Amino acid sequence: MSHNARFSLLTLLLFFICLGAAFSQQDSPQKPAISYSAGMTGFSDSAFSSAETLRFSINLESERAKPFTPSLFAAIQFDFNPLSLQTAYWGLGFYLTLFNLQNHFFSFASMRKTSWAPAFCAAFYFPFDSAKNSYFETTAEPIRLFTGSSYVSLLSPGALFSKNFKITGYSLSPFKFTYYFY
Amino acid sequence: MKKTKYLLAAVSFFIFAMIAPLSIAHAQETAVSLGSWSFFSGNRGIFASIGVTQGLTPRLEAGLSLIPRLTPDPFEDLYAEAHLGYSLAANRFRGFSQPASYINIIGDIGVIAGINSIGAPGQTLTKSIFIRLTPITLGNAFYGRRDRIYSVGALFNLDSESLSLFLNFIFSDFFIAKRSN
Repeated sequence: MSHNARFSLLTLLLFFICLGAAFSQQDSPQKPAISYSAGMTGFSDSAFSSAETLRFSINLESERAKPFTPSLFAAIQFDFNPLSLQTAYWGLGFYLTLFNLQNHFFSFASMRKTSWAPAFCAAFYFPFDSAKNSYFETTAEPIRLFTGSSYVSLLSPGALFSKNFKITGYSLSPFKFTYYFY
Repeated sequence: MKKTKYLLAAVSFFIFAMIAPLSIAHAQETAVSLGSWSFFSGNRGIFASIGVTQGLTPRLEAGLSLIPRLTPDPFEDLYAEAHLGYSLAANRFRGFSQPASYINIIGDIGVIAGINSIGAPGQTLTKSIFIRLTPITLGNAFYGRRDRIYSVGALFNLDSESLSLFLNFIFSDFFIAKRSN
């Protein structure tokens, strides 16, 4: 079995473990929360891309902004400036909301009442072009504000790892917006 | 190079001199602005901007900002821009006793100068003028916050005499003083 295939299988396995963990913790009868995200990311390492990259994802949570409940996402990313679909990736990952504070320092940043809900994310990304390498990314979202119907994440740094889990560079997402479908 | 420096200094001084007296009447309309810049002229990577905007009249405002490159090589390029903006749809400010239109459209005209490849042997200085349209502006000084979304502009590079486009996904303005309910 090739390295890429093993990497994909490991990702799917982790994905389903997180799915089970997320919904086994659900102690309320409410429906799972489904949201979509759009954000911009830049990378330090030209092995991936030196361009501005847009990343879209569909997210699944058992409950909105509940701390320490794993939430899952499936993402797609491509170079936006300059536009190129040859460098497109798809990804699977999870994120954890670390805490959810109602009174917080960043309240000035929004006209709406917000809570501060920083998160940690981890995801595997796979290229559509088989000539490129898949990679693993962990991201901290220290400035993540929850409005009740959406999140705004600002200046989120990330670390990039190769398939062998050697660090290869960093990423920076200036902003990411997340909105619930319902 | 010296000539360019003098030109930049003169433009900066002119803008400050213009803003300072006018801003006294609208001092409470000062905002700190954070935003993003996407250049479509070969400048790859993420650029962020930090600056100030200042209300001059009920419709007119001015802004200054620094725009460093964040990725892939942080601070390899650094730009500075100054602009005048005009609210096209409605007054941007009607005092703190009555709210101005929550939604607006802004047209900007400005200058931008930058140093590329800072510290490298091929370090260059570029100067451009630009126009920009912000079709969606939400909020204003009355609410203490404003977002300028999907701004599209055209840059004319004065050195290469070439035209290129740029995009600002979002600028968030945080007004320093809010109304006192």
